[in-house]
Amino acid sequence: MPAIFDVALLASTIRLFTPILLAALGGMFTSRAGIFNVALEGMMLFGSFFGVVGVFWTGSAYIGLALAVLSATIVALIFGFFVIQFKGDATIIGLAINILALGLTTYTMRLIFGVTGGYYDPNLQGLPNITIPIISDIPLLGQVVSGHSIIVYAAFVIVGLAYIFLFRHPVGLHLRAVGENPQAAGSLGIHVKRVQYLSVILCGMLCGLAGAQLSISIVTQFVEGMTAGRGFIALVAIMFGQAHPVKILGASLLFGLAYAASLRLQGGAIPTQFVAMLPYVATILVLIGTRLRPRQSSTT
Amino acid sequence: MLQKPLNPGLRTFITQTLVLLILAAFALLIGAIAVAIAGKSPVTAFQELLQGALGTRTNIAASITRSIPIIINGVAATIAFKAGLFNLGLEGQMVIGALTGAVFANAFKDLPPFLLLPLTILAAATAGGAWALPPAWWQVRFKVPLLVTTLLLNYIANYFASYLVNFPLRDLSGGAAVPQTVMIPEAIRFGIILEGTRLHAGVFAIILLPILVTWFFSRTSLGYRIRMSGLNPDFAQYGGIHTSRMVLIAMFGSGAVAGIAGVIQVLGVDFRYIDGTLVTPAFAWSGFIAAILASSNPLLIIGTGLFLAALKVGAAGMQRNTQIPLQIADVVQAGIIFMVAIRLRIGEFVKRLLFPN
Repeated sequence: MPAIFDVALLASTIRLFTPILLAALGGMFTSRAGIFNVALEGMMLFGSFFGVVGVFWTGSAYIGLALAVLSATIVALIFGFFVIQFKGDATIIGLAINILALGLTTYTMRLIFGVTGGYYDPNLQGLPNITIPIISDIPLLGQVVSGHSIIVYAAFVIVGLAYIFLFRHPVGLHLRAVGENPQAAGSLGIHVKRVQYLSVILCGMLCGLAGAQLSISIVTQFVEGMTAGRGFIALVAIMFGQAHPVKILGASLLFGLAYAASLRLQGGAIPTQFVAMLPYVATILVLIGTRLRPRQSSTT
Repeated sequence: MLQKPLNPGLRTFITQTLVLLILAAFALLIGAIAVAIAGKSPVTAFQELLQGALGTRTNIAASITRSIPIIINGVAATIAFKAGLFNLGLEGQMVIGALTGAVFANAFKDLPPFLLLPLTILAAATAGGAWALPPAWWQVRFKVPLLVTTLLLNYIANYFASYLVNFPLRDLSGGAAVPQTVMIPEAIRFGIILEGTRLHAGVFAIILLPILVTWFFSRTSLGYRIRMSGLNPDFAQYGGIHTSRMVLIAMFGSGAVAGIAGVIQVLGVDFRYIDGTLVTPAFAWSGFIAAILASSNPLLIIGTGLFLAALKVGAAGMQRNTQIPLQIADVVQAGIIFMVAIRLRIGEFVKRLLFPN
């Protein structure tokens, strides 16, 4: 049996955990603002699809990236409009967004590309891999850290920015206050709706990036429903990471590792179906594991 | 003219009718926009859709056949809704139920059919219910939200079932390219009840199950306790109801009914378990939407389920004749949920507009 744990695995972990991390950070903002957001999945899917459409139309990967972010943000605003303005049930609206995303992207894919199932064109150039000058020459570390898309590096920066925004910036404080107690926050003169809209917009932008990382970074292709539950795994990362950016980073790394291991084990002795199950099983185990600990320590 | 205020009952009726009309108009509008984007005529598309769904006897039968798994899944979703739970795992529970039913029927094919048929359905229901139990237990024991775990378990169920029919349970006779189990005994297959169509005897379940579930929730003590723990868990707990147990029971019931939806497809349509046939048409999600549209009223699900099935079948017919992708049905479905989620707001708006005082 070949060694499973090596440098290449770490490198692919970094690539595969980025979508989870970005979607989870996005969901963290809405969660902190008191909105339970199950629409991460759908927002990501819009990002993935329009990322590919952007590349297809213009030939520029960066315009694809911009279109991914824009489309996911528009969808997030629709979500916000129904939840914040009309006070609809966030779970039901969120599920509707997911159904809309799957339906509309598949519908539009058939119209634009005239194909079913998925669209792949080897001539489409996705986001380039960035080689970091000095670090890339360091053995091992260079292989893991260097050579990813710009989204991967942006994700790490966003973790820091999110931390500063939430805990060191007055607007971040307002956002947390709205989530803790909207009435109290409102009575202090905080514009509750405005803050919630801000959280939804941030969430949409980050989900757009997450979707783009899936569709125009590693390979340039779109597959129907390609997010495949990642939005929900990101939800788990938020719970596991207690809606804290740095802890979410850790949680997402764990799930990224599960994805990388799943990818690595394909074609081995274990049937593919069990290998493909791995990220979902890992997510559920982690979710239960986190709730297990405090109880045990309190009884012993 | 309206010097005397209308009686409140009539007011509510007028308001609700108008809200429904607004919902329907909005759904049509969304569909028309999507068709117009495709560069086709919305009028033609709508005609084709109606034709495909209800145009001929065969098409009507196809719509009703399609509604069977949707309505049963809708009933399954409702059982969880009543307990205040979002069971997003209907798909997995349906898959596990269907596969278990197919395996069971083949394993005990020597039993007399009058015994084998109910036992097969029972096995499928038990398996579906059992698949729904762990997330319920995780929620009551570890406070892990069931909404997330039920959804993730769909992927696990689908991969697991796919493994089983690809390898240990695969029908290798006839060199079939599709991973599927062996066919179930002929004696227990549902008969066609309308000559020349595919409408099978499973259709009785779409009347039977909603009535049964309505009776259960309105006439039995257990049904009452489940509803109470869904409406107000703290109050129910205070009143002596074991709310945790209610979560487990409701999820088992929900999963069991989803399992029945799956096995009815096996008994009436496919006559075996075929990899992916229950997942691709998104029966479970349409059922979930049917339940939302019906505001968790099991009897109304018969109507909403038939409507969604006709929409899907009609869209498939439209795709054949106009090249407009059938996913337009999903887009319209999503639009309807948006409207339903805010229908109380629309109601208030209409009321204010019509009866300002």
